[in-house]
Amino acid sequence: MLLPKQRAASVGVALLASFVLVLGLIAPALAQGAVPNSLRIMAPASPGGGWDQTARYAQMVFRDARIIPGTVEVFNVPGAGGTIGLARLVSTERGAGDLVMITGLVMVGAIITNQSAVSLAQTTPIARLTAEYEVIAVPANSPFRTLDDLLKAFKENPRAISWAGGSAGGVDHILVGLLAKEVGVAPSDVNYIPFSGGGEALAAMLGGHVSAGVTGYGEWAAQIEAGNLRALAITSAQRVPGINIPTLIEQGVNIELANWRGVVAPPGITAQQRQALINAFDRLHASPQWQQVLVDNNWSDFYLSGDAFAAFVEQENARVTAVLKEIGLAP
Amino acid sequence: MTHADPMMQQGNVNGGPAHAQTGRGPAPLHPQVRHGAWLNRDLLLGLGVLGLAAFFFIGALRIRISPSYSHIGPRFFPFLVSTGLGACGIGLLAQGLRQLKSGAAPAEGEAAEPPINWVSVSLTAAAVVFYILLLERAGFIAASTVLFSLVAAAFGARRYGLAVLIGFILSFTAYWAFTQWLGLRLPAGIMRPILLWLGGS
Amino acid sequence: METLGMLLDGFSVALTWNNLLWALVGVTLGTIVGILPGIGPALTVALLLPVTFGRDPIGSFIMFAGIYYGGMYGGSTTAILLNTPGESASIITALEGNIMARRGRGGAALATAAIGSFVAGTLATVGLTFLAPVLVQVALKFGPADYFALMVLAFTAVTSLLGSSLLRGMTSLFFGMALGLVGIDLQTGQARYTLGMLEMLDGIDVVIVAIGLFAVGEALYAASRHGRVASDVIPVKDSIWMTKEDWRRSVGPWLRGALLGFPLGALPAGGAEIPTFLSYSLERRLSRHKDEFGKGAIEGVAGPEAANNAAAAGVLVPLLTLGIPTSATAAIMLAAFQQFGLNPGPLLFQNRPDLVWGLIASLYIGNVMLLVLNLPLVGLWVRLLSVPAPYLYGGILVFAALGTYSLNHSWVDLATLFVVGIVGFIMRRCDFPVAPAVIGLILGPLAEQQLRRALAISQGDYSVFFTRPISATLLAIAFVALVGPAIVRFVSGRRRRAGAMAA
Repeated sequence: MLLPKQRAASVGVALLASFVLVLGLIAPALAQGAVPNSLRIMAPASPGGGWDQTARYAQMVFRDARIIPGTVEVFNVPGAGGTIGLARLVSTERGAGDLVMITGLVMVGAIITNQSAVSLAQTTPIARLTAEYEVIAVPANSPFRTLDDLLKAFKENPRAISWAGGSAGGVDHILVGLLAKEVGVAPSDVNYIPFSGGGEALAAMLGGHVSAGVTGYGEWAAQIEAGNLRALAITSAQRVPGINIPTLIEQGVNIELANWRGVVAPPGITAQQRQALINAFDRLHASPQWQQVLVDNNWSDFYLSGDAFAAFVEQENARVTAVLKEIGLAP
Repeated sequence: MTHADPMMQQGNVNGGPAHAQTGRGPAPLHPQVRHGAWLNRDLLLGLGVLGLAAFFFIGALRIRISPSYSHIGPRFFPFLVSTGLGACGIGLLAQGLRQLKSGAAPAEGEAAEPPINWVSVSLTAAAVVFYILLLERAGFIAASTVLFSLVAAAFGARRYGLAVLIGFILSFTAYWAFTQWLGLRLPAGIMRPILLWLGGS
Repeated sequence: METLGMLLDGFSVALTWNNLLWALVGVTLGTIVGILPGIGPALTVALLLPVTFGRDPIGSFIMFAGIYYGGMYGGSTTAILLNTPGESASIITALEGNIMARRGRGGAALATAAIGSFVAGTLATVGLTFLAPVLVQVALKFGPADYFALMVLAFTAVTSLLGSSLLRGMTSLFFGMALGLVGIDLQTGQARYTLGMLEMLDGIDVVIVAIGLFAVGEALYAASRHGRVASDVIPVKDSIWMTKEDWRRSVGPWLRGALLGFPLGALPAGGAEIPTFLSYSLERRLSRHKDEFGKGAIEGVAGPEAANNAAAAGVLVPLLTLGIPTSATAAIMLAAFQQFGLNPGPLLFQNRPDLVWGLIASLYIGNVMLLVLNLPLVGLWVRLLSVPAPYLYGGILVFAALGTYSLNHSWVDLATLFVVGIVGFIMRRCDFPVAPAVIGLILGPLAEQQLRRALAISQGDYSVFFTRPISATLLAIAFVALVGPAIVRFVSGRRRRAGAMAA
């Protein structure tokens, strides 16, 4: 909750913002710091999931930090890995300057595997917000003590190693595909067992029904801390503060994978509208409230906005397409 | 659609116990002998089920198989299910042919069914179709009111004004409760100005 | 008793005025949304999540749990009275319950459902209190092969639901399984039968099929008979309450339903539907009134209703002890925990005992509230049957459509609802039982995934189904269930013939 002093300060910011906004209306050239009057955030998934949570937290911070003067609304367009929401963003919402959609690595994969007619290249990238790193773990009573043990066994008899993870073609599957490529296992020998939702995969891990498992760190963090699962590696570039798990890179496997989330706007918006959205997210990122959200949710700060984010999306698309082709999920 | 047989007029007009769910209807009272029939209900149903089975079987051939390891691929169950469905279709077909040959009325239930009230059924079905067409254009309250009124008319409501009024009150209440208290998003459509005036969204 | 002390602490949390109020709000809301077709507890909790953002987590969870339990109570009401189950776990309840209602015994059916829900819900909550840590260890032993064996057992239970014609029942079952194939194949990620539509990739929702086959199909069927057949519904005969005979016949099914529902609900890939299939099938086999099944046997309402409420409590076992959600509502509750920065799992019991035990204590209170709330309402609900048909069916369709649209906000779902409704109408008209289709849609995909998972893990070794003790036992029970009655018939037939010869 805001302290009175903060509240006064944010009222000040809001007044300033509306002043800037008025200025912006009068003289577009001066509108460097302008933000949209109101904002709609589309979560292209059902309530409760990661994209929905990202949308709701952004909404909360936009309100509490008084970044957006008007209303901030969240709505859900679930289905098909977010590609239904994407199709709507690109078609019926074309040119809407008050709308952003949450997106992420999962959608990059879903666009390819679902052979979606629309792609992220057709949207207006705004900003990358958060990252969750993947963790590779084994059941507590597994004979594999280290990543080396696991990968050695994987190389020797690939099919004997069953990998539990999320849906086929998702981030977990992509990581296993990258691992197989790195150690030289043919994709046709990768025994990947997809589970719907993190819970079922966790049950299979705790019951020792699979050899190893891959998922976002947050999902299994409690079980790893409690010692029911043994984490062998995390997919971040450097060690994540507060998580005592070695990275893949420091164990000699050259893979870095972040399950990132960001926001994109519809196509056909003006340069000013795009800049206003970027400004809004720049301020969101700078706010102490957002930094607290990151800490509370175990999300890593992965902020990048504007053209740099657009380039990043393109790069991720190329990498994911290559892996999915390899594991037979892209034509 | 169902084959409404003009020969089957002697329905159980006073209505026996409902038996639709478990198929435990009373046995036909008067097994009727029909002459010159070349098609009956089970024959038609058998053909329909076989067609469905063919759709699923052919569709199974078009499922891509990924190179990843999986002992049983994505086509196995589709083949299994479509074969099972096909077997059921053949069974129904055979039953239909047997009935044709013997010239007897089907053993299961049909005799207990009165002829279909096509006006009511069509009106009810049309109400749902209208709803689908109207919902995102005219909004939830308008579409639901139309749905309610048409269905009420299909079921013999004669006081149309009252039906529309009840439908409107029901739809409005549902809209208000779900959007205001539960935060569900429903299309406001043509009612938007009035809803905004009332302080809703 | 350490647990007992914790539970008492929990009651001291749950019995504050504030939290009692949250519980009351929850159970009332849950009962209402449970009654409306297609709008279940999962959707309600999901919609309320943002509202509780930044409020007291204990109060919020007590309300969510109330919605969850209340939804289970409410789901049976429309299933019994209008043959339109609000969610998939009450489909079985509709079978006998609706026939009872049509014969003027709706009050007794509602009462046995409510009391059974209370008895089973309370027993299962006791189980949750004292057995959770043990049960969860057993549940984790279930691997894919064991789940597949459980599905096989559930399939054999379906045979008691096929109706009078085996051929027609099987057609219905295969039709449901075929619908279950639509969508992305979970194991390989390949699209199946999606006709190139993105909306079809997630498959056909069970809720849509259940509402389509039951609510829409039933409305069309009733329309087809309108004016042709005098209404055969007897609103209320004799008393609306249960007779002594009803009580005697309900107690066994309640207890057995609780015993089936709680452990099966606690399985990490269980859910509330399978126990209801098994309970119905079991009661039918055990009943001394076998001939009444299909004509409104009270055991067929008491057992499955008890089973689905016990399963609802069972679902909380893996959720609270491991953070594993096994039903749609549980998945949303997990998201709710995360929203409050809490991680269900082994550490939650240590870190937030006030919350966990307050929640568990509130379940006992919620159950009592629901019984007190629902029993007097029985008299009110049965009057639903006296609502004139035009308004009754108009209302059913308005809520069926609302429930369907609220799932994904997609007109494709509404179109699917319509087509499935037409199929439901044809099935009713041509004497196909409807329940097997829904069961096929639920069990088919589960059985397929578990079979393929088991064989992928074993690398194609089929012996896993017979060497694993759980799987082997379940398959043996399934075999006995399938072949047993035939053997009994054969033996008793011989005996009778022998007796006739001797006479």
